[in-house]
Amino acid sequence: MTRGKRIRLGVGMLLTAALSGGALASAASAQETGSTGADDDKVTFVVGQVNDAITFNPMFAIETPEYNTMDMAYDTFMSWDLRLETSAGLAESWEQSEDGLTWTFQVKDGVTWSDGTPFTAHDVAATYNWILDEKVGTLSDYLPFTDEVTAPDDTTLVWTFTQPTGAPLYPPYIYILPEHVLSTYEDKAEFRTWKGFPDTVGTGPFRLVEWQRGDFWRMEANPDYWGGAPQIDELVFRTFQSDESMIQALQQGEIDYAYSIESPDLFASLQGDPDIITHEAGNDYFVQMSMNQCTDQVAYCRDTGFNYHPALRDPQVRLAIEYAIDRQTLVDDVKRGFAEPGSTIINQPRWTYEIPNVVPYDPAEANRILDEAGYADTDGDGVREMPGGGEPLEFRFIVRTENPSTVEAGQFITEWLANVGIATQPEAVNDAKLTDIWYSNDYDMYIWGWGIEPDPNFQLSVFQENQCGVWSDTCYSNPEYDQLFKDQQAAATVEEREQIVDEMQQVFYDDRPEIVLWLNNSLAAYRNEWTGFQEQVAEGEPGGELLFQYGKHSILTIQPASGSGAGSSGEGGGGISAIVWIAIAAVVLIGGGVLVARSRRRSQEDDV
Amino acid sequence: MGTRRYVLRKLVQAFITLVAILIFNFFLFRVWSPGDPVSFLTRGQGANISPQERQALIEEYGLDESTWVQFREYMEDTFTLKLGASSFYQGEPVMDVFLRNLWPTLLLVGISTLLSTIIGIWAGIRSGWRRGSAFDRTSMIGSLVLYSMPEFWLGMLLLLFFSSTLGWFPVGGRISINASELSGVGYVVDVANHMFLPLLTLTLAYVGQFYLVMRSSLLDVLGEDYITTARAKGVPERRVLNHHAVRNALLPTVTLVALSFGYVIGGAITVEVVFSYQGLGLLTYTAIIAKDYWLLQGLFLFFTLAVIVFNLFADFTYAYLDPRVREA
Repeated sequence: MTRGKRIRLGVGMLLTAALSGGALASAASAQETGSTGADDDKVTFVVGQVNDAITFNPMFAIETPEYNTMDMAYDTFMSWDLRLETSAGLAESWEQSEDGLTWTFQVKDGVTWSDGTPFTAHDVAATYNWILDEKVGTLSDYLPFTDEVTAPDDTTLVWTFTQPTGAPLYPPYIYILPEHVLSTYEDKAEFRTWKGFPDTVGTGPFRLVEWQRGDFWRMEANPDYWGGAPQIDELVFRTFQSDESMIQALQQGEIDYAYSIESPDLFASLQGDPDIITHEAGNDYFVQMSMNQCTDQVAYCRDTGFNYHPALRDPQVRLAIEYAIDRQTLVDDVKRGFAEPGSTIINQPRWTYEIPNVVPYDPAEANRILDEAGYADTDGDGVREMPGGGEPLEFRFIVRTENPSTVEAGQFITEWLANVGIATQPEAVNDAKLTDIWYSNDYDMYIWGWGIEPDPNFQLSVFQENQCGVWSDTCYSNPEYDQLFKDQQAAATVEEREQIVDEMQQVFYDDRPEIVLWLNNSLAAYRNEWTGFQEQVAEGEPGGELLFQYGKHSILTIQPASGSGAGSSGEGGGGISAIVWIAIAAVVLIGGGVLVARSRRRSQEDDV
Repeated sequence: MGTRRYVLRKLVQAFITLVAILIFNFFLFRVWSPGDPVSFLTRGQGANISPQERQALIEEYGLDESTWVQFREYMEDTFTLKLGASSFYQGEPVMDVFLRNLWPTLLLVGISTLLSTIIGIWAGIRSGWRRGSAFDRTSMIGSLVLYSMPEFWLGMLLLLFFSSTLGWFPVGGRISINASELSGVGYVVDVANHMFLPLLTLTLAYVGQFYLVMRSSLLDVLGEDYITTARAKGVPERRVLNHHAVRNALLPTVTLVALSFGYVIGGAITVEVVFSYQGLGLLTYTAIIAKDYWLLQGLFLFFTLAVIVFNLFADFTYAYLDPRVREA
């Protein structure tokens, strides 16, 4: 009998001890949280985002949060100003030789790496040469026609080309890395295993100091930054699993800035919140509907094979499809107005071209075109057949599960196409699966998108014939377009280049391998305790990016609005939970005590 | 003699189960589900990669080999515990990624299983003993509601109420961003604050089943003849309950506790995603999205082993508690 009692007593004591210990701990921490807030006046700016980072290695990073972080840790050689025009980065001045083949740069003096080593032109040469030698896929296209990059002395960089080009002014989106670190990798392949942390050595305004993988990472300000010291002490990036939890954290003050909100509904819900300022930046990415254009003339298509509906080869069918689509409804109903109807593939205000013959929404015209081209519904099932009867116009249509807007858009388009006698079988797949389908050229139509860079060179390069199987959406091939692409790269003046870029947009629009549906706006929101944001807006653009910009602007000037408690939000929503913990501990303690006492009394009764 | 045969038989059964599940996992990840790690790494925007480079990646990962060769390598690697490198984490050893995420989940699943078991059993006994009482009726309804509610849904409700409306607990994450500056006690409280809601969710979600099994098994036992006999002998009621009824009624519940471990891990996947709580659950979610075969294989090897070991544990405990099982 006594054995049973002692055990019960033992458990009771253990429970009591554990809980009172917890209560004490909570009380202690409650005090502690209070004091950290008081004597720690570090200003921390917390950014929330839905994507996580995998690597901060500048040669291998892919994801947006990784780029946003590396933008703070490193500098590019040339940069962009608040109007998105090319400006100086680590370069001080530059000139092009008479024959256009040689560019000579003077680099900035007095810049130091975060480990104290002085920055020189040799670092730039080492970085560019590494990318060229190793053929780093994502970056080597920024260095076209390059013959040689050398540094004759510490402040001069000489870059020679095999043909005249304005490429250095596009400018290359390549972070300059320290030669004294790169040279320690005898086996260059080994560099891949470095995740960009720890031992991050950069010239940027912030330094990566802590990385809690899957949770957050922290950057510390570099007060000696050559472009001016940041106004904040710390920059923290926090990862969320969904827009919803990110928005809640913003409303609770756990984060200061919600970056890239994908859901237009959630964004709209923030607009009435007095503590939150919402910001809509124009032209983040464009969304297009691509139609398979593989032919035996294109090498990749020939080697890999292809399979799609023959009607999509007919320009009249593609034209009719465009007439059948109501872009304004997609913008209003799918994107809730946070987008613009699209038309051309180049959407930077500086380089975009007003297509004079944009096809309006006109289902009657679509029907007329298809009737005239001989696509009649001969069997009366509501779906047209190929001219002369035969195969019905039934297209496989793929949308992205990762992007709900494309799924919604797919439903609208399916309905509109049904109105003109075209049947589609929409299918939602994940991006990995879509990539597989796209590589095997086995589709009729799909919806995907492209991010918008300041310079049009990359976007234009995508639609060359030789990009089939690499970047090309549809394996579009037009020798005229390919020639124009080379011409714009070699153009002597900006005016000349502009003219060619306009022409390319017109050629591509008229060939219509894909239909640009809408230009997506980037949606962000921040707490109103913060001020000092500078919008990066190109001439003629309605609104621009507020925080993660090309070049360093807002990130150096953001600061707490005077008199606000901003910056202490890093302490998290834990203020009240210490009290809650004490309350819980107390309840359990009392409850547990009563239970133990009762059962002791009872077991004594039992033993009687 | 009987005991040794019993243990041996159970071990052989466990091994066969393990092999069968490992074979199934291979086909589940590599053959039956769409996409592959290379497609994920080279998907759409951001990864400019030529067909040659893509081919090189496919060869590097050994995905150009026939399914049979891949299967053989998979089985060899699994049994020699050569877990390989994660594709999503760009070549980081699977073991490192796994260990980094192990503790948060062990803590979460361990404590919640403990709590839901204790509460479930206690309430089940009370309810069964006083069948038809107010406590029995309310706890029965409560348990059924909790039992039938999906974990992620419950988690979202708790998140909305305690974090968004009341602001008592952080919206998500495993630690605060200033956790590294906190002292020992402060750090523990910070971890507890972040773990509280996921823990509450998992505990509530699983308390129902323990309660229901404990209650019905106690009711069964209370109908047995030896209980009537004990009462007839004049044994005090409390003693009938504690010494005669509960001890026997515990048997099915013990098995259930061990068996439910697998479900709790499954529940942890969705709950960790809801609370952005970085642990094995969230890692599994990431690995599935990224088609990271190697990480998935490592994770499912662990989950499979864990469930099998706990099943064995249940079998042996059961046999220890009830000698009749050994003889059967």
